[in-house]
Amino acid sequence: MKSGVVVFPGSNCDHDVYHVLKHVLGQEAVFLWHQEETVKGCELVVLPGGFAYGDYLRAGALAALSPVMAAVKKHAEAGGLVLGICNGFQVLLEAGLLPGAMRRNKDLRFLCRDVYLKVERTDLPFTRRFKQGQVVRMPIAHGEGNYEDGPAALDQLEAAGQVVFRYVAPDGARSDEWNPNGSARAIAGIVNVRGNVLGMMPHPERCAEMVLGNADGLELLAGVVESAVAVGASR
Amino acid sequence: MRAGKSFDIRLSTDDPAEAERLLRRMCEKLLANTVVEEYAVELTPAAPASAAVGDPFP
Repeated sequence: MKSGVVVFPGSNCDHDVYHVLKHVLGQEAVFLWHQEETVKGCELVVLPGGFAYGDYLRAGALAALSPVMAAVKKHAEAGGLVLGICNGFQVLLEAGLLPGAMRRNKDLRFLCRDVYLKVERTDLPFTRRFKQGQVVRMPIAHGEGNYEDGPAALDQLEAAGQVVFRYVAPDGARSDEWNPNGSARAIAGIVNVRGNVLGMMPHPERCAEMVLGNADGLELLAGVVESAVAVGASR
Repeated sequence: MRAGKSFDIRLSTDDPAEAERLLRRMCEKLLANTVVEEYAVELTPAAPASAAVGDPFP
């Protein structure tokens, strides 16, 4: 599977994702500079974490208007896979590829810690290696991860099964105490209706090797690779 | 409570309708995130050009 990792000025998790795709999973991976006008034939496009364009104005707002994002939109419309991690999720929201918006964390502090996530859906390329309702641990590192949308829009998101990850306690129970940033409905990650564009605040690429103490995140990226291989085999 | 942002933007047009159209477009496209923010536009005649280049916070 060929993957492209977008590099905005200010991206800082681009090499981490590239490393996992290329060296841990042994896949072809390239970087896509923000001024690129195509995704160079990649099957998966990753928008990595960081502070694209310095996050001036709002996180992800300026990056959403960059040339490469027009190509990413085309790729998504054609059914191509897109994964936005942390700042990448913020960019997807600002670009309108996913619904909703981010506000400052509820306590207004930048949070850098592990969280527990409940996997709400396993029929996606991104989650096929997880079990329904499985609780996984991944790190977060963000100041604006407080997901919000109107009540009607949130109901619609839930009804359409677009909530993929939720912040929970280690035993899988939902509570304000284990929702680190105050996100509506404890939402940590969502997917578009078609199921090919995923945005999530936690960082799977930072927990993809046991040498780092945790490999829960590898399952996500390995699932994407598996699904691409499966699609290739059925063609 | 959450404080928003305010922008002072100097336009080259002297047509109020055109100015308002431009500003609303800027707000919709970039300056405001209308999912969680509202915006308001207020037009004021520009000061003479010579005064405008100076320090905005003297």
